[in-house]
Amino acid sequence: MIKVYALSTCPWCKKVKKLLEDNNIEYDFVDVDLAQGEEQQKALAEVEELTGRRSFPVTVINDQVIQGFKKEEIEEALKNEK
Amino acid sequence: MKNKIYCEVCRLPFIYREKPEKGQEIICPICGAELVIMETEPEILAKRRPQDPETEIRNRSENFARLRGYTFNEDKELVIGGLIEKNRLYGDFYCPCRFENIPENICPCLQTRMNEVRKSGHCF
Repeated sequence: MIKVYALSTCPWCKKVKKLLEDNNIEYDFVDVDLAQGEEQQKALAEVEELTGRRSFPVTVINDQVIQGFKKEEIEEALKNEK
Repeated sequence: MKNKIYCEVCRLPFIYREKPEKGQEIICPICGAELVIMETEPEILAKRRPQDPETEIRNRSENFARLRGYTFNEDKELVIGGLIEKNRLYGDFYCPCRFENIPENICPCLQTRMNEVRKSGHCF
């Protein structure tokens, strides 16, 4: 189960999504800035709980939390996922 | 008297080398914003130079990079695109990577003005 917390405007978030798509990986994502009301509050709370801050993107692969576009780290985590 | 000009983009005053004239265009040495002098008496009043949003943020980021001696990487267009989108949605060029649309996140954001690029090699 892979989840990406993103902002619709954020370049690094787009790169994470593209990296996953290029690897044909299915993932769940939320564009936190576009989410409304409770869904947005929930997503923000989750991001803060995972990372202690409100910066994006946050990628969760299994139990591993990766903040930012860290290509090698994400690819490494994906290997374990497979 | 010192020629103190307040930049409404980065919300800081800077000293200009000479007394500017009304209508003169000046670049903020802190954030690279393009300003135009509206009044010189009793105090110097500067406003953002009216220009279309894309030109404004392109000029500002290029000015800022030149002032600091930075160069753009291959992600420049992604970032500019995100900034234009933020301006369209929220009315100013807030950092496309930050959730909070607050003055200190207006590009170049406070963290970037405080040498983030030198510290980590790129802006947030």
